[in-house]
Amino acid sequence: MIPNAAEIRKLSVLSFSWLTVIFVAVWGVCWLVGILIPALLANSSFDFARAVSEICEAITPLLAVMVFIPINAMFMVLMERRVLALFTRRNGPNRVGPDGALQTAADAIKLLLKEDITPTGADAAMFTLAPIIFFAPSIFGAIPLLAAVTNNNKLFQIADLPTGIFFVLAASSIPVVGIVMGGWASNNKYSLMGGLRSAAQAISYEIPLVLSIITICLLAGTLDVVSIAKQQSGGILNWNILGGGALTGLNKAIAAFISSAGPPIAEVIKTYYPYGWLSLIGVIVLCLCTIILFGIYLIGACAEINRIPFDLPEAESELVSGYNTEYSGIKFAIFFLAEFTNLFIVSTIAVVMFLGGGDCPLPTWLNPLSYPAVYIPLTNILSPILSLLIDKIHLINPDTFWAALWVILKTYSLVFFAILVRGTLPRFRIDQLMDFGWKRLVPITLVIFVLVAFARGVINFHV
Amino acid sequence: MTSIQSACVRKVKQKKVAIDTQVPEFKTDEMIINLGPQHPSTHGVLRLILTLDGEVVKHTECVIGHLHRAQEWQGQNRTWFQYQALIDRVDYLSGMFTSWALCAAAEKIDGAVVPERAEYLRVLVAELNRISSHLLWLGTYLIDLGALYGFPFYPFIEREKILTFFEEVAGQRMMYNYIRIGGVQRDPKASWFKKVEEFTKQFAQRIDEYEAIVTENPIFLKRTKDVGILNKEVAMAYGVTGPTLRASGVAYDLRRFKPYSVYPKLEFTVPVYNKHGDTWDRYMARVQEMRESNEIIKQVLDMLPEGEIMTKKQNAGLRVKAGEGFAAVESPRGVLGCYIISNGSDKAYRFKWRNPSFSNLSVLPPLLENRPLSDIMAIFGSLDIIIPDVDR
Amino acid sequence: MEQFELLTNWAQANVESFMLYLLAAIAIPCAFSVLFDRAIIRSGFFLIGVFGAISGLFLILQAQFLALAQIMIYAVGITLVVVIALMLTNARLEKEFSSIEPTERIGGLLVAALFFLTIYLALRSESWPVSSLQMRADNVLQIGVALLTNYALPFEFASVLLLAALMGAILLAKSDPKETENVTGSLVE
Repeated sequence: MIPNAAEIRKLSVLSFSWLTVIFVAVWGVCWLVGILIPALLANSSFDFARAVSEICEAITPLLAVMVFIPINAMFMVLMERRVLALFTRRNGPNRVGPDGALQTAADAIKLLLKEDITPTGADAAMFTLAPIIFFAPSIFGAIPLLAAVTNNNKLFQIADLPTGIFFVLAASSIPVVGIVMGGWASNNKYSLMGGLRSAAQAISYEIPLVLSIITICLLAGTLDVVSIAKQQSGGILNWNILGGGALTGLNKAIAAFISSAGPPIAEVIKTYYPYGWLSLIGVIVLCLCTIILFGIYLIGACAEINRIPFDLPEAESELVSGYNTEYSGIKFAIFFLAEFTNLFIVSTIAVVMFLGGGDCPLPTWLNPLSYPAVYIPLTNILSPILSLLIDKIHLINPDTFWAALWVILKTYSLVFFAILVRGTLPRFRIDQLMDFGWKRLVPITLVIFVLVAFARGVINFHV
Repeated sequence: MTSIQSACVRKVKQKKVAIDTQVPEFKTDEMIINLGPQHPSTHGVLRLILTLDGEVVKHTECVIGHLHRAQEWQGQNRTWFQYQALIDRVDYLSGMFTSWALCAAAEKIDGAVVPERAEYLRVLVAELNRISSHLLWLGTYLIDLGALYGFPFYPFIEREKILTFFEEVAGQRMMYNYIRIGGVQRDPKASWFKKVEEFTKQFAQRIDEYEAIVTENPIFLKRTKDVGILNKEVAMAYGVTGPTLRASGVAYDLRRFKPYSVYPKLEFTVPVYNKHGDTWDRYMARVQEMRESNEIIKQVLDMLPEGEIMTKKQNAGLRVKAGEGFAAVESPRGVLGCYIISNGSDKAYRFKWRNPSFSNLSVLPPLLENRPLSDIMAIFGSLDIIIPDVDR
Repeated sequence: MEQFELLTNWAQANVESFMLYLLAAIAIPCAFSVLFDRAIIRSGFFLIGVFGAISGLFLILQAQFLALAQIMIYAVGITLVVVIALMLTNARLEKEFSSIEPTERIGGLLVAALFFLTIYLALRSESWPVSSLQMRADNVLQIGVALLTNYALPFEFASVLLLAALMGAILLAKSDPKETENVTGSLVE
């Protein structure tokens, strides 16, 4: 017997409707700007029209992110509050809208209309700049991820970005400047301390974070997020969290065993694991390493975005509210928005880098209903409508749809995990935090980096 | 002051002295910061003036009195009947104990004998109140340590049940006015005792649950182990009492040391959870105490005799004979004493309260010295101080 | 319509120059502010602006990896550490540094002028060949290969130097936390 089953049911309905709204809104805007307007203008003979359609296509990814972030953050705040309420046997916000679905929308409006206060003695320019610097990177940091999470939809392909994941990491390292700046500009000792702590913490935990990502890049042999996501397609055994592709051979072997149509198993194994026992050891080492790396990534990400148990910069019980003590109104709203967006983005990075991006977890040999197969019988039934929607006006793109669905599911699982952690653990002390970062995480990641570099040599990847 | 330094701090100091001989002193500016009176984690309106070197506390000054309500003076200007209702607002988390101390002192002057059933009922509600107070402390202490969401609300589920019991028996959830001079106010129904019995049966299991989440949590251990070590000598010198003292290794409990009411007839141990007297020990002491209180309640439910519950008529003309008397009870925070001089009229001539939080707070500055800012909350929270109880 | 086409062509041809001037317009005032701002912490933040603009310049030159490394390491990592050091050492944040003797000022001016002259002459004397080659898409790979083949020796030297610096820093920091503050303190004054 679950004591608050009714609340769980309400939360599920609420999540489902909110996610539908998000999905429809984002894809609607993308379709409108990226497909409909260019298609309408395609036959036009005016240069101006051509230029407009080109601009439309170019800004589609940006628009997608800018529509997605505020709506998504609203839902995440609501979800966090409701889920925390579940954990603590409370009800959570349930007054505004059906079951409190519009609570965060109301909060957002309230924050927008509130008076914007700049404290006496504050550095007004820096004080205003800080939330912007905190928020802006999460917008352009999210753009390269779009193509990876939508199965390389051509709407979201950014030309010529070979540094993919590195770009995202660089963008995600900038927000700490905003925190330090805001903390210093507030002319408040608590804020200053929050800023200082944040800087120390972000710099320390960025090293294990980046090292864990780089190790995955080393396994993948590329920095490009789209190809990293693509390499992992074909079920959970191909995902980077299980050996970063070391189990691809196993996957292929099982497929060969089942279908008995392709090449013989021995040959498949020989191709992927050419050194016998050495290869086996390599596979085991790689699997262990990548699982540990995933854990380290999650810890580093938690510290990077100041979530409990690493929320020292805004430790309520010590620093009142840390770096954002003096902020109110729209500036505080931006801080808040950016915090949740950052949580979503680091979860998405984890999904793309470790959990196979938009890939279905079932291996292809176990999954007779892979999505083309689902989609074909459906088309037979609803062919006139679907062909209109898919082929004529491109309103539905099955590849993108399924990929995005899986990504959303996986990302929100990670977000849920972050909320679970928040609902469980107390906070570290700053010196313990630094010790943990420098004396545990950094050496472990370095050792794993070296191990992976060697273990990689005894297995063939992605052949 | 040197004896106050914890072993940990002393080690650091020795190291520093060794190095200071080589390196010339470099002066850094110290930062003075006001923690409170409006701060999320000072449990009310306590103001701490902290002198910080970086994030390390160099000096602490407690500024108290923001909640001063002149409770003693009010007692001298209210009738006994009025003051009875007023006094359990002092320590709002354990109102039963303040009432009890007042009533016990007044009864000593009066020479009145309280009916046995009333004594048992007093023990029953007091121990329930002790549990509810400790449960609230457990939740808020975790908030002090940064677990703002999640765990802190779990203890509130049980606390809510206890408050419902009180509401049924006293008509109020927090300001009970249940223990009166000469007995107790109401005799609960039989169904009430059944509910309490059910509660005691499953409560031990609930404590196990809390302990499973908190006690061995690595972050919790890191934050509380070897933090805020309070030596036996220091604790006694500052007049610290209650679980805070017992965690330092002194088995001082009024219920055992100077038994009052029917405590001599009950079997219970005084939990001394002593390893160092750090914050984790104080946590454990309180958790053990909740278990003991639960056992006491079970015994009381078994032994409860039938009979009268009140010997004195409760009305506005309530009087106490002339004379003076002192009574102390063991409240969740320590020894709560009440000294009364009565001149036989409907008002007392003089009240003097001995509040445990006041003495317990006084030990805070030496405990905080040379600790980082984050430890302030871990140490301060572990002392379990109620600000109105300090300021009266 | 022709005018529009002309405009777009012109814009396409000159977009890099536009960006260059834009970034210069950000970088140069920021650099001056680093020098002249009264509040030293604000100078630190302006330094971040300068590094950011420089990484923009790298982006124009299609050196993506360098640009991103510039942001991650210089703009955020190192400069932030400097800012923290300033905050820790200088509790009165708005303290003015005006106690410089006039003679010292003249000396400083001379040094600055000489330095400027040297840099100017060095830049003038060098001929800057413009490569007509298109930047390769996998330039991260190119950098990696170059570092481990042609430039292996300088790379190793740099890493040894950094290791030595790291060890030195640990040695300085290990003895006493106060001493590190001493070191950064001398950096300010």
